[in-house]
Amino acid sequence: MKKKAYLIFLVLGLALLAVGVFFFGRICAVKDSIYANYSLSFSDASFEKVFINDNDEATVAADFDAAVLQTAINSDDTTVELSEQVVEAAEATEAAETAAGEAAPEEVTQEDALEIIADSAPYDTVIGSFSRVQSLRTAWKLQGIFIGGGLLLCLVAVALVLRSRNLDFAAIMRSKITWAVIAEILILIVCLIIRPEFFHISYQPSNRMLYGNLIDIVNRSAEITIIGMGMTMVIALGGTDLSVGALVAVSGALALKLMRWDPTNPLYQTPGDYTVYPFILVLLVPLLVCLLMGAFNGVLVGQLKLQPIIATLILMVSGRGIAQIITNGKQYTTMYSPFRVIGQGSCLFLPTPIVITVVVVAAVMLFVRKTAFGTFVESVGINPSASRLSGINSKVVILIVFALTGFLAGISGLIYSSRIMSNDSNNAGINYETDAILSVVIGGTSMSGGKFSLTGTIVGSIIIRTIITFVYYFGVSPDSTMAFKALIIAVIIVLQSEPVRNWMAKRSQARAMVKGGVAK
Amino acid sequence: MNKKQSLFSRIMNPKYIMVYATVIIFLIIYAYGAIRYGSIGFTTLRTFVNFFSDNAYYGISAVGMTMVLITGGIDLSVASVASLTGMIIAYGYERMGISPVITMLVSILIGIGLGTLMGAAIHYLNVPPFITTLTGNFLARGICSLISRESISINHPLIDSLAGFKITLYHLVDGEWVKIKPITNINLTVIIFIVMIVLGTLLLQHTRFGRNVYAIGGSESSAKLMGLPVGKTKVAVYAINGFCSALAGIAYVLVVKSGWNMALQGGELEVISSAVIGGTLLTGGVGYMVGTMFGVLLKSVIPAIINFNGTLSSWWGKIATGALLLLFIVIQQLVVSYTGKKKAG
Repeated sequence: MKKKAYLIFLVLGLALLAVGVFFFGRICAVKDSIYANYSLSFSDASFEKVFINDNDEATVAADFDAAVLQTAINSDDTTVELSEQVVEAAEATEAAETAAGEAAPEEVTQEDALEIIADSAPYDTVIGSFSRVQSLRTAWKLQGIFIGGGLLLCLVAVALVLRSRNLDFAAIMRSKITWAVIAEILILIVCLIIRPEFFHISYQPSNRMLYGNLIDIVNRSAEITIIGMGMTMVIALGGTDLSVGALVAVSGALALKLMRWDPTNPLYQTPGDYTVYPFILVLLVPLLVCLLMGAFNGVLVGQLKLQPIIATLILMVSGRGIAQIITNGKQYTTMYSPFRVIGQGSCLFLPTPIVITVVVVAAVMLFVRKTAFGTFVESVGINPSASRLSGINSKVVILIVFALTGFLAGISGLIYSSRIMSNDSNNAGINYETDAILSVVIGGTSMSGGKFSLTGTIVGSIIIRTIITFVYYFGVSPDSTMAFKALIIAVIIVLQSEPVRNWMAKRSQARAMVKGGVAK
Repeated sequence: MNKKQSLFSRIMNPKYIMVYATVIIFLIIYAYGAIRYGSIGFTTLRTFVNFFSDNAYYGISAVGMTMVLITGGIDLSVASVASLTGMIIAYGYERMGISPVITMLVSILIGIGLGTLMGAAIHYLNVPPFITTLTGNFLARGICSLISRESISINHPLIDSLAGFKITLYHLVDGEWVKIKPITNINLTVIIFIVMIVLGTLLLQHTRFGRNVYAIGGSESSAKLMGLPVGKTKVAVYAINGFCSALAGIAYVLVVKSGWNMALQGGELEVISSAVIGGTLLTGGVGYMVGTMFGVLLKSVIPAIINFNGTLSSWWGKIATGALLLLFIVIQQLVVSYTGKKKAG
């Protein structure tokens, strides 16, 4: 009976998820009708603000109109993607004006469009009644409860399965990754209690992609997860790599330069949907350069035996300077659509960065765990001289690990620059090194080197992103996020620290013994 | 025993070799600047004093950092704590009307408190220093942003008079004291910097506490077996470092006369790299305050040369700093392996 407990949780969890999917359909239907009526694809953040946070109809209407207008203003194109209604209205006005004898403009300009949007009060034409907003809101909240609850029950089921397989409960309690997962579950429970809408998931027809905070967490954690795969092994070697953030900037700078830099051709002076060099070069050159820069770190650490923090500090300090020199201090922007797919496109209804992350993680895991390489890394991390005596070329191992980390930082840089469709040598990848190191440590890999856990790092990077998304969601300013991040991380670290874990393990062991005694 | 050694052999002790390497590199770069830009004022005393005042706040913080590094730890929170200090002083006076004297004391207490807390977590909970102090960094920076997200300038007579305090240098010309030309001033931050270096040297070289710090850095388990108060010393070192960061924050306020939540971003690595350039080993056990001081000076010389050149863009400065760091640690490494071989041979 007791062993089957996880089944109950699992079935219940899946049932809740299924009910969540039902609401998913409802929300999508309402959203679809809004988008169809008014085909301006305004961002989901403002959509959420309008339909979740506003209290009365007047503010909903005002904010909705403002959001539509803002989207139109933000739109990159000179002629906004307008719904047919608006275009017709604009043409009608023009016709009237022409009839009145004024000079007719050749096409609808953005200013005209904005005026018409402002006049036509989109809320009244598209939504009409407040009850529609309310029903959407209820569906949204219920979906959040069901999806969040279902997710948590499934996680509990997984935990129970783990527990029943591995009889040594004390060992599970002692494992750092357990505490990381518990922390993640606790954060999600708090979310579920305060704001169930946090868990809503919907489908955005305009770019064929699922949308929601859960998806967003995984999507936004992509860069750190990818870098974290390399960082885990660097830390397993007993080092740290501080240069990854600067490499992200270098990679973005190179990619943008290859797409935009052609001083002779006047066609290429303004941003547009083109690339100067072939797209394959745009992808490969940054990755190759980052690989070489990572290898440079590896040579410093492996051949010259420098302390990794200082060796990688060199590229951390000068990397952003190099990125500035590559672009000559310019900030290029581009609209090249294949490049946009990397960071903003969708693949299998998910944001592309998630798919890229899955591929990269799978490749690294196969390379590390299906070959002897992972064992080499661990043995060099535990005792370099002993592993040298047993025939492992530690210099080569270190070189490969650092070069791989550089390569992965390059991939992250491409994703980052594709998200903003620009290069930003000063801010791209800022603090990535600390976030990556934190994810690795939260994931249970020890800073003193030795055994490492790639799965743990994924959990760690998702926890960090959850904290940030969670704090943003409750409307804290981005700068102050750090304080909350620090508090939550401090709690996790204290829970994970050796004395606390040992104490918990002892307690649970003692309790198990007492229970066993009573049963007998 | 020590007294019997000749002065020469005491000075040429191989344990000082890193410090000498720093000094020599400083002299080489200084000489390069003097030859290239001597005619436009690189060799004046004012330029030299500016090397001290340009990065005085990093120098003050580096005093505490050197001790932390000698114990084998690291502290990434120094810049945020300094920034928090500035913010507390600025917000306290400009928005709440509290006298800077009180807010300075409060922020020094906060620095010491945060340092103690981190030291305790590092020693008693066995959390790696890197992670503990990184969390401290986020915390201090986050609190800073919670207090205010905009730069607040400070207009208080005390701050103005402290910032304006300076000693003008005179020299003897034909039996008369005249001001050195160009007029050379030593301001308060430089005085604090030098006093802190002297105090740090005294603390490290001439007290039991200092010897404990070196012993812990050499081997923590041996120190423990020898019965040294490892825990107390480590916590004290982080507390001292917290004090130094708060003091550095005050020095920074005296320079910029404002508090900003994003002030000194990335400064912790400037401080750490100054100490490392000065010959402190990140693995612990080795390091001298004098070396750290020259490390800080080296950090001011390179931008000065780029300034005097006038044609190089600021991002070349970053690359030059990186290249210098590379050059320096490679030399360090060669020196270490050379002396190591000599010993072994």
